[in-house]
Amino acid sequence: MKQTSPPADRSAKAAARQAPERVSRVVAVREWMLDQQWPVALTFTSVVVAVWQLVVDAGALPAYLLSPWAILAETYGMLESGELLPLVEVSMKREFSGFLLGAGLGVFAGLVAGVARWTGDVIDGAVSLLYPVPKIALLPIFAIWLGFSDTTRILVIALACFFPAYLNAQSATRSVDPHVVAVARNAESGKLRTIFQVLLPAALPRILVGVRTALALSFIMMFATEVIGAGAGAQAGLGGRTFAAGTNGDYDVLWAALLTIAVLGVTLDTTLRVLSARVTRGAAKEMASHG
Amino acid sequence: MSSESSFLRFENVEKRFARRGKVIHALTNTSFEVPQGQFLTVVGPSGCGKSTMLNLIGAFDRPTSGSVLLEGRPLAKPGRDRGMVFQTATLFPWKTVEANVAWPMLVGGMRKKEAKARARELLALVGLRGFETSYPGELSGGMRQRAAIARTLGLEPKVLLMDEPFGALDAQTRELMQEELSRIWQATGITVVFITHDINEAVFLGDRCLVMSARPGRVVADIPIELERPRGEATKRDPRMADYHAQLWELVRNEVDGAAQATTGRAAS
Amino acid sequence: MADFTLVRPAGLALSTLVSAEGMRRLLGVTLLVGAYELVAQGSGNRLTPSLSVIGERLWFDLTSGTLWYHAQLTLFRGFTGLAIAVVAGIVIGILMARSRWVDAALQPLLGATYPIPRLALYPLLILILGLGAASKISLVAMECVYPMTLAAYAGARSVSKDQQWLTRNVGAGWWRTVRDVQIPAALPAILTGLRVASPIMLVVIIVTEMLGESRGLGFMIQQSRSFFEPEGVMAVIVVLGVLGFVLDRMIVALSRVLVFWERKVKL
Repeated sequence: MKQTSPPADRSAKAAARQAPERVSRVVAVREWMLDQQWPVALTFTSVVVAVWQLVVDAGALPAYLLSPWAILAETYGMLESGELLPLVEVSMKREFSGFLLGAGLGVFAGLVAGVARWTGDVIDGAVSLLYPVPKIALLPIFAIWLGFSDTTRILVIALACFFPAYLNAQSATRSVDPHVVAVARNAESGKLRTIFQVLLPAALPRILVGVRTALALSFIMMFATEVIGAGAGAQAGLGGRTFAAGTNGDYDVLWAALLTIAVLGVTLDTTLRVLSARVTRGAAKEMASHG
Repeated sequence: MSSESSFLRFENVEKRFARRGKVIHALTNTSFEVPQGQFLTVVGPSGCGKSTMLNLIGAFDRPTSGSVLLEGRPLAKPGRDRGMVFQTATLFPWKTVEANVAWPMLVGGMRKKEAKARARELLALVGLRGFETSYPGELSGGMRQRAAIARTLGLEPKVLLMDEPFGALDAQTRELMQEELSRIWQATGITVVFITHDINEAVFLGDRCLVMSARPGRVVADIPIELERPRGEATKRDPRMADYHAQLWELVRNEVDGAAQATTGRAAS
Repeated sequence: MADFTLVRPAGLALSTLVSAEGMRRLLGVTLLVGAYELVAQGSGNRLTPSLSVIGERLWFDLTSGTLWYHAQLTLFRGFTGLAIAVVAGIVIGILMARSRWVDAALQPLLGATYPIPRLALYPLLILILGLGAASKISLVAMECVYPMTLAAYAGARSVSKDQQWLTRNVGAGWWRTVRDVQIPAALPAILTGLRVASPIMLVVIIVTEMLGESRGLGFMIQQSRSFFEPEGVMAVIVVLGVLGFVLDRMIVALSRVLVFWERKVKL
């Protein structure tokens, strides 16, 4: 998110009292750092991490707070010993299945609901009934019906992902500029063509927002479903392993698992964000020009 | 009584529609004819049904009673023979300019290569040569409108319907676009129905100007504009423009005042 | 000449009484509930309890005081965490909006840590704060602070350039600007953030209560599950649904009161 520069403030004026060439370079660097943002954030984080490491080295922290270095070491160790990857595989399979199922259905239902007003209202009514219920609360009832299996977990994850995908897709499709649709009608474009070549691309940016939300949600739900009613061994997945490690006092494993989850989450989200940006290239330019 | 010679025809058109539980009487007893190739402009106070009129010709809506006929046939649904240009260009932001212009042609069954070539031709016609691969988001308002006009021309319509297309542009761009449009019309000979709030614009562009009353709208005046064609810089300095402006403004003003009085009268009671 | 006639066109008479859209939505609800009831009646076993059985259980929980006992705890913990998140979110958000340095430091961090499930930190929180309310409340706060911060930030930044320069011109100091200009401007966004955060609060508190806890609505669900009482589970699900809905409506009502100057609050 880009910042607009505020009117000149006092520190800039103070700097300006110094030699002009030095001032402009200082100001330029400062502006760059504030504009790009990541240099500042990176420095800030590095300082925090460094302090953390120092405090641990000084022996001032309790046993369960590891130093950053130790966490990295343990993660590497788990990776090498072959313990980490099966856990990741199990968890990711659940997460992806649930996400694809839920978000896919959600986007589809949202599109239908957005295009066909009457059917859409009916679907919307049914959806709004389930919407306020925290989907994790549905895990126990699914467990009663189907036991604690991967199917139940994937179902719960899918249900959770359905809603943000549906809501965004429905709202995006309904709020497409009617003039855009009028252009399609003017050209005598058939219903299917209008939906796929006009409505869908027009609604895509907002639909993708819903998909990104669903992705983050799928991650949380994957973790939650693995912690509540965990399986054994590799079937525990990252979530189950993390919780077990906490209970058993394996703090190093706990931190390593946390780090793995963090890395996975960020990678997935960034990938989706980059993909979305490429797909909505033209629309993004439109946004930029409107300011 | 249908006349074979009339190209576009409104016959005793009434239009009422419901909005939020109220009934809005947009048009009443509206009748006029437009010969082929004419540039017709329509002016009138806000809310007088000008846009509704255009929507009826475009068949995005149907008259409550009466008929709208093109070449003697009543209009049932939107079609490629009546191209609409809106106030906001409404280009597809995810397509490049030339893809935008080509799209309606592809819908019409043209082959990709042909459509692309024709799109380039049209873009050159409207003065956008060199911007084919830009995205609409990168263009200014005036350029987007030109692209929208090019796109609509690609439909090869018999009638061009324009709903205040230059209303959202700044004054300088608007002047330029008026001259551009006049030039394009001169080159294509297409029939145009052009709605505007700007009386000078209506006089400059039109062969003939209809003045609408306040809601419910009907035609209160039908003024032929006898300024020489092609119109350009010189036309704007023609003293007759001022005369036409005065005449039309008088008529419109009556309607605006009348509407205002009706409102205050109702508010007071 | 009159241009409006308050006449109801014959065809629309019925739907002006009850909105057609509302009826269709109701149809959707009815279909869903009806479908479940059909399955429940058809299966004839305990697994899918019919609506009447669920209703009975719900009534029992209500009148025996069990429901209130657990719900009260859940709500107390949840709201405490939410309140902390609201305050923290507003403070951090406004700080970020006012200082480019703070913004530069925190904005990328917020973005980067957003996809990391805070829930994963729960085991850690248990280690630090124990299994009681404190760890739960902190987790709720940590999770809800994200939408609240983003909302407060967006809201505080929505003060237009002109307004900013006006306040400067008038000579308003730091605190005055925040209090009289930025907070009211940010209010609609903050309330939207609250609307986003409250279901998150509900989810988090339920999840934490489903793990090694002996009280709260989450615990109630787990208990019913372990005793193999599907009607008990469903009863709490219904309660949660109602809670979520009421919470949302309360925030909407709150917005109408607090943001009284905005007529068409399109929430």
